[in-house]
Amino acid sequence: MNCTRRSFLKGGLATLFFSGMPLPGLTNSKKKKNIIVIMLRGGMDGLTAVPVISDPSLNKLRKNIIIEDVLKLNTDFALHPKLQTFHELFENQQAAVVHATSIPYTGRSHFEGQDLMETGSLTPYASKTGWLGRGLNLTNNSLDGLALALPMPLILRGSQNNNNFFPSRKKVPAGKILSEIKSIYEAKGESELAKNLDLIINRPLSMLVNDKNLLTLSRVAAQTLRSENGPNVAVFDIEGFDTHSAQGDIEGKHAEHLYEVDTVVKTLQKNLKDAFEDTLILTVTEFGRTVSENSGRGTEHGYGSAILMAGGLLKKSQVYSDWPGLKKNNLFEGRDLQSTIDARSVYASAMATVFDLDFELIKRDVFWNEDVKDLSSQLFRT
Amino acid sequence: MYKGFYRKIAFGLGLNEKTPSDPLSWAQSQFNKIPDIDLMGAPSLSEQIKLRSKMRETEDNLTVKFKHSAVEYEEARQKNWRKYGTDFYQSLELHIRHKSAISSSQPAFERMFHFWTNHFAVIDANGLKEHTIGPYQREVIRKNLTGSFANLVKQATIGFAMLESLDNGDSIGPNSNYVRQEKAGGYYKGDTALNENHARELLELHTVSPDAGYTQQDVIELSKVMSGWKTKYYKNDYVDWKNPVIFDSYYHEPKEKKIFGKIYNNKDTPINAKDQLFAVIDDLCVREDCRRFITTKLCKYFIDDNPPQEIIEHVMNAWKKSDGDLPTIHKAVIEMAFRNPDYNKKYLMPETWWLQVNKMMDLNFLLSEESFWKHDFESWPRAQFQITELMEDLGHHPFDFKQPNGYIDTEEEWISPEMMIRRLVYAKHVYNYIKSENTKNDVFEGYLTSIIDKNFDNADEITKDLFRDNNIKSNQITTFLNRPEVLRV
Repeated sequence: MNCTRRSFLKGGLATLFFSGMPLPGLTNSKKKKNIIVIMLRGGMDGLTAVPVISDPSLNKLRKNIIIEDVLKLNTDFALHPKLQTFHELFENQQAAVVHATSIPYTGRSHFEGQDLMETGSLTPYASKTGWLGRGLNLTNNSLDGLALALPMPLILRGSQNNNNFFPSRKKVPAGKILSEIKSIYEAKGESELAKNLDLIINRPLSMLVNDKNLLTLSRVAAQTLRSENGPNVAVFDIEGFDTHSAQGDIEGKHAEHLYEVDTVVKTLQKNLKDAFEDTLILTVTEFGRTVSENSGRGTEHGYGSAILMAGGLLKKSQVYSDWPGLKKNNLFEGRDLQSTIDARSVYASAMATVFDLDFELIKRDVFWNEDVKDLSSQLFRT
Repeated sequence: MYKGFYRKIAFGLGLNEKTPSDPLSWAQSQFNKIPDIDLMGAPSLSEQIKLRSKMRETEDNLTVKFKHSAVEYEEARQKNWRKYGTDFYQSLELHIRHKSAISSSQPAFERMFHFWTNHFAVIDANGLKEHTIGPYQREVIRKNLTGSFANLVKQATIGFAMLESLDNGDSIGPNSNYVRQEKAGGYYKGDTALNENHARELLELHTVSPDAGYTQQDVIELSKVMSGWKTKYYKNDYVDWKNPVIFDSYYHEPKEKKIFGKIYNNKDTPINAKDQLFAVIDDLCVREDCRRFITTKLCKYFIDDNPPQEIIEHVMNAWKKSDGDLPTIHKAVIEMAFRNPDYNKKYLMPETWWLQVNKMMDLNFLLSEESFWKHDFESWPRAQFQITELMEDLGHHPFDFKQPNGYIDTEEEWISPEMMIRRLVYAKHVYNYIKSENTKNDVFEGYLTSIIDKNFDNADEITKDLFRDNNIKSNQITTFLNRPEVLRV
């Protein structure tokens, strides 16, 4: 079958856009729910992660970077072979994909794009807070965020209770000294410094390790989120998706980074244990990549990409897409996969689900009442 | 007397340094000439480019030789890195940078140099961080800090590291002689294109910023202008290492280009292909949006996360009057820092904090040239590599940029539990690097008091807090170096 836009609309996914009854206000679910965002910096190629197998034109345009041995999802789409865990979860109704999606940004600059994927804004550098931070803020700061990164990512800013974990090899000074320094900060009116030092002083045991590889970070994140009083939000940062050259096929740079994503998901699932049921894992990237390969066996900055999702809060395994097709006149500016779903709709819906907030409130206070759609009931267990 | 000034615009006053009688003239006089640098026997930029090329070429051969065994390949590759000194040389370059900052008689110049190396951040690619970014910063950026801003942009743009990192060599004009010849010969594959990467950064990050309102078409047109600027291919045996950057008109897009509405190289006023880039840079650098963008960035770096408009305007005027003369601009920034001592809450980035600590406390963290070169290139460097590990762990390695926009200097970037832990652990570590003559019981208090007296406007308060409890010395140092007055200025 040639994968056209029409075939997908027929598949019943057009409803994605026309439903979206707002949830009736803040609900009082007692169960702790988590959202984990994995940021994929550099522009993740959705067509490498989730190749369309029913459209032969993809392989024609990418002779040197064809993905073989793909893991089939349905008649139209498959997963890159390095996304093994993800595939198992998909078979188990615990993974899904939104394809041909992007934040509404077509400028192809990493810095603008990464700024926007984190702020959720339409204008680069216009917002100093992130969509996840503003979402957390709407919970009256009852929920906490955790970044598995050394710098505090923009995506989490705007919330009062952010922590990060990315341990130094060296030992933190004794609690007595820290308390002494904290009292200086308090006396000098340095509330931000005092608050952060307080988080250091009160770190849980699980954080008292000094190894910062992705496995450890994922394990600590899962252990922390699993705890009843732990944070509800975790953010990972994986770099290196900007493959202008030597992108590779089943091996190569893009494949290596997809394997990292898969490993993070696998470790999270293992260590979250039962809490995986009440967790949603989502990827975020600044843009996809050109459909055609370039002269260096890589791809250029593009537009539409894919969102990988995992966790027990997903409604079912599905590739959600209003597939635009890969024919030249279907492509954005004749070169990039078109984005037919505003990725922010997925993120807004995810926050409504996990934070138990009214979608309309998120739309208004996180996304400035811009045109984001409520996909909660289609995508997630609400 | 505004003692914070020395830390605001430089690295503080050293233990044995005298307080200048006229601080503003002292600082402003530092921008007229480029201070000498202690090279510690480091190879030049062109020698390093050659080393990197050889390292890569050997690595390519290893992939063929060990294609049957991933383990043997990995071993051979690491041996190759050791042989070419990848970790050794980046540590050496960090040493040169830090030694200059701490020991220079022109520390304000050195601090300004750090601003510009961050402005022209180069992203690592295939050994650039190890072999090229340090030498690029000192041979290209540093050497052009006494001319005009436009000249600095030109040199930074056609510098090997920048061209290589932003892949400008892959950018081929669709109507270039290269494409024409391929088409005529019947072997054109249609796989060449312009690469917009470098053109976009030149506009967005290095000159006018997105506030200037350029369009995607402007980016494409600038990439046409830039096509032909290349780094020589690393495998060519005939590479002239002294000139690893070339302009090759064979790949250049001919015809006219239109940027910000102005046409370059039209029929009536043709511009030599090679000179087109410089003509565009000249025009970009006289734009008000360029002045405003760079000036605001300078004021943010030196004065405050939110510098007031009057301060920005003052520096912009100095820029305009002097046609973008860097020493004049630098002096104007310094004057604004001096005249506005109430702006004393700028949160210092980790490298700056570390260098100030080193200088004020007269630490012996850095190795001498002689001990640095005690290395056999068979094993990994250990003592030498400490500085690289430190900068990585502090999250502020000045050759290892995560993004081409460099490190962001506003405090949200640096105030978080992990970032604060870094300063706590390294402050604790500092005690091990205080010279032994200063840690003796009878001199330690005097040593600290003298540092604080010289560099802090509320010296009495700090010393009183510090010696109130009978704390052990390393704890006193940890507390002192994490005080708000030390973290900010």
